[in-house]
Amino acid sequence: MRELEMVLALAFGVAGGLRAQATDRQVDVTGRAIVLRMARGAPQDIRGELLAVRRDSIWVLARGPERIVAVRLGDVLEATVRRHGLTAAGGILWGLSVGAASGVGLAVACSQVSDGCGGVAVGSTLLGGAFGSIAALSYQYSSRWRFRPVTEVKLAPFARFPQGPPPGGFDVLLRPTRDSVVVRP
Amino acid sequence: MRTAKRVTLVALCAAALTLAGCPTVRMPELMDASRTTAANPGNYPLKVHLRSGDLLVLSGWSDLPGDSGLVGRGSRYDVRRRPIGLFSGRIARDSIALLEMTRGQVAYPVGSVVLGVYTVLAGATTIACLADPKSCFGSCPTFYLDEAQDRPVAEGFSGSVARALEATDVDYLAAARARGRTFAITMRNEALETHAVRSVRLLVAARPDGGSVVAASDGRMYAASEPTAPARCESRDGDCGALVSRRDGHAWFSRADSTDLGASDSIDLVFPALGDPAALVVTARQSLASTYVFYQSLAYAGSRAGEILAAVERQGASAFGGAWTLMHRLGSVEVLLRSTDGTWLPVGAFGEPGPIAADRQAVRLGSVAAGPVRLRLRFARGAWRFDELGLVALGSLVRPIALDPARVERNGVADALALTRLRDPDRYLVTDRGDQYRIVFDLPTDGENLEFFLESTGYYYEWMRPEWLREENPAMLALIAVNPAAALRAMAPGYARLEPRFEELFWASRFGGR
Repeated sequence: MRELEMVLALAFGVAGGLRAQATDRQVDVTGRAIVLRMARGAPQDIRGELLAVRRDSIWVLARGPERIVAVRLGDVLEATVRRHGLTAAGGILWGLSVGAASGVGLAVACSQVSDGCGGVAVGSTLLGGAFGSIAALSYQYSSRWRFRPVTEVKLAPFARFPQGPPPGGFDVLLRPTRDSVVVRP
Repeated sequence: MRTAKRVTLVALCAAALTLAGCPTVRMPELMDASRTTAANPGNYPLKVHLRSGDLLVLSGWSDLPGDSGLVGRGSRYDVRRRPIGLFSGRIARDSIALLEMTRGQVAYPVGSVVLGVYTVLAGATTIACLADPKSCFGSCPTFYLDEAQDRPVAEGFSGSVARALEATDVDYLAAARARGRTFAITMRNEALETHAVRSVRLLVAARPDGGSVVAASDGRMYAASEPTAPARCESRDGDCGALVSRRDGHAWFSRADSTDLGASDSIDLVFPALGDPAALVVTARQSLASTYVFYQSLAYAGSRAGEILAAVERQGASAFGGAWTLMHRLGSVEVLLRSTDGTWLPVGAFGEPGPIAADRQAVRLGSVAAGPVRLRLRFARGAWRFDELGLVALGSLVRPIALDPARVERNGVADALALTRLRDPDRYLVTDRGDQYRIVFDLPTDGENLEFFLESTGYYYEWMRPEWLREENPAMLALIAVNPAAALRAMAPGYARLEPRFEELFWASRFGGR
């Protein structure tokens, strides 16, 4: 039973960390992360923080360089909004970590009774990666809400300014860096 | 039953982990500024979006009388969402653009279930193997049928742990069925051992009408009726009839005595009269108690293990007689027949080394008085798993046909060298861990009406393992030599700690190509 208690303690400890990572205790003061898939041959998806949605426009604070992108709502084919923090990458990382940790433990156990146990750790890590990949497929879908067609009513609750753009506009949000670019609608 | 409990426990563990690791999804809901804030449920703060673009996050709040606004306390953020200080006071209704409340909803993504189950299983296996690496390894050649590659149907010469102890083992292949004129079986080395296999032969005999062929403990084979189940089966724990009435893989077993591995146990059986000559057919395998005792004895021998095995090679089992006494105490089932005057008379014994595959043997009862047949099985507590106990009427002596291998395949390719060695009685086929050979026999007639027995001859060497050297204990080694009964008492607590999970660890840790 001692081993079971150890397993339980380990499992719940890790689970607690996972949940803490996935669940923000504090309420967001910014908008949710959003990806806009554009229709009509737009060059690429638009990613960033959802600032506001108003009638036929949607504003996103995009990074690298930091800029405000405004697009017509009608040009957005699909919008995905972050739902929880368990991402596909996180799932793979989790699986690999458990597999690697288990592999190291098994390799240590194996090395006490045999030579050439290096493959145990590698095999266990790959197995963990396989489970992580399965989980990643799941997280890929469950970690986001998908909206299609995109409407103001659906997206507004996830915006930094659900009531619409603030009185002074969005320029104040941009940091005064030399490479900042403002894209206006 | 215990396996089912453990599976349930692991499943519950995984489920609990999954639930504990599932994220809470925050669902924002917007409310018009004129709505009352009393509707905000849950433990999340209330977000007040002001017309200026600023945000108030209130940890406590209430409506002001007359619907003029709110009063609350919390934090204030500017449009860039930089905190600009704590807030406490009134908020006029007309300065509020929107109220936002948050509902928490736990999500159950399939990925969390997958990772939860995987984490629990990986963790449990790792911790168990780290706690006791020795329990992760088994012994002796194992044999598998083509149609059942997940469970061995026989194990060869398990007691032959040195060349001097080379032996021939005959196992009944109850599940074997052959269509046509060939029969195949796969031999594997799944342990940290070197196996020297002198021969593997298939013994075949025509199946008698309405019965089968049984191998008796005297080494002969007989035609026999179908087994009659016991009318009564009484064990220390109560009725055991349901578990031993037919061969179905659900075996009766008891837990070992935690103070004495040699403690005696018994089962009393009552059968309806069947007439002479009769035999008790026993289908059983050993628990892992004898495996534990054997490995622990090697561990106590530590650096002297090689010296002791060398002495066994030179002088035979008598060189370390205490160990064989231990193994014999655990590895045999005494069969007693109740005579008309009420005394219990020994009539024979059942013995099959090894815990991997059950074997079926018949114990002849000799002359049986009229009326119900009352038998008692006496054995070491926790040392056996009985799948079927039945009474058969013995018929004529059967002389099986012994078949040498016709072909041997390794990794799907014919292996002429292995075939030559298995057919040559003066040579050995030596196998290393992970090796497996598919051995094909040509049958003399169509296989559908044949009974099959596997005869294997050889010996094997355990590989000494570093952690065994750490347990070297000359005092315990001496105790085994001079007082085997006391040694079984001394080893009992260690086995009792391991026993509940020993089987699953053993089966989960075998090497091989499965």
